[in-house]
Amino acid sequence: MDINNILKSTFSEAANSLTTLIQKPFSIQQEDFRILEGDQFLNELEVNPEDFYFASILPTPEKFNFYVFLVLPENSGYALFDFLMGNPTGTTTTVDEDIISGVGELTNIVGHTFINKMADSLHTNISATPPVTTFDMFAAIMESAVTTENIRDEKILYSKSLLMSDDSAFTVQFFIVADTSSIDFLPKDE
Amino acid sequence: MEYYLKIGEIKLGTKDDILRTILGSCIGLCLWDKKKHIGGMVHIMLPTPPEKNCSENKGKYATTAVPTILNAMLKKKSQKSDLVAKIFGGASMFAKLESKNANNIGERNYSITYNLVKELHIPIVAEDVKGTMGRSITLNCSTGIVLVKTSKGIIEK
Repeated sequence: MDINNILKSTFSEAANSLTTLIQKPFSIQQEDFRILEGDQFLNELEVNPEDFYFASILPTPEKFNFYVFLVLPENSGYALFDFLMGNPTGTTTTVDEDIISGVGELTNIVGHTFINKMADSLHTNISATPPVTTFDMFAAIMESAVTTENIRDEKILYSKSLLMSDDSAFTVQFFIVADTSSIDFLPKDE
Repeated sequence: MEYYLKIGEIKLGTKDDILRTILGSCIGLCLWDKKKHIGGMVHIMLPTPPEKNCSENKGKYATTAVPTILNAMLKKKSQKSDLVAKIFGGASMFAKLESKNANNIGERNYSITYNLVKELHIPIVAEDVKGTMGRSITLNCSTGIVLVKTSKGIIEK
């Protein structure tokens, strides 16, 4: 199985966990998958660097030097939080501690499901610590992501997916930031 | 003309030029010539290069970026005595992780940049650094004024 298929299946599994969590069925459409070169990621992603996003980071401190990032546009974060809390869509429009905590909980479950499924696909174990969640400008988040762990020869596996229900659609972007040696454990594209 | 600096870039501007970048744990160092009204900005990513004789992008690391931007200003006929410095960024956006790892990259980026500028005897006239929020900075090369935008609002430095 190549990495693209692994990411497709892991993201589908993660989306299923989201469906269970907020009791709403979603279908998944993977819009983009790429391997980006370290600090050049901003040149390649069609994102306004000043737009605000929710982001959670899940480090995998053992075995592999990589971490998983989940990034949600501001409006997707609000809408998913409203689903989680059972509020009508549009109730949440500003950021506070509650929504940071709620998005953190969502990404904790989705992120760990993602990591567990990836570990299964690779026939190995990957453990991750609980996520740290923030809300800030996209460029500031991603720039901090590639420097936080001081990975200097980093590569970024990037997957952008769309979660769609009957009445809503959310963009969720997954990044796996890894040093070059750790990323070698992943199977190459066929 | 407005220019957006990516990680590791160094850019100079004059008159109506606007230099802009977005910072998390990285540092945005601005030099401004108060007589010639020339501005310079560099987006520094890490404190030091992986090897001493690194030929990589010199703007990426504090130890190579600070002398490089100064030399670029001097090539534009700026006098060092006419320069002032402003430093921004160095946030710890994932502070909980960094405290576990004792690896506060934002603080180290700031500390090294600050010391290098001090050693050059260039006065640091403004700064907005550390904390937990990202910053968008915009340098007006004509006035030397920097607008700092965060999720909390905009301030002038």
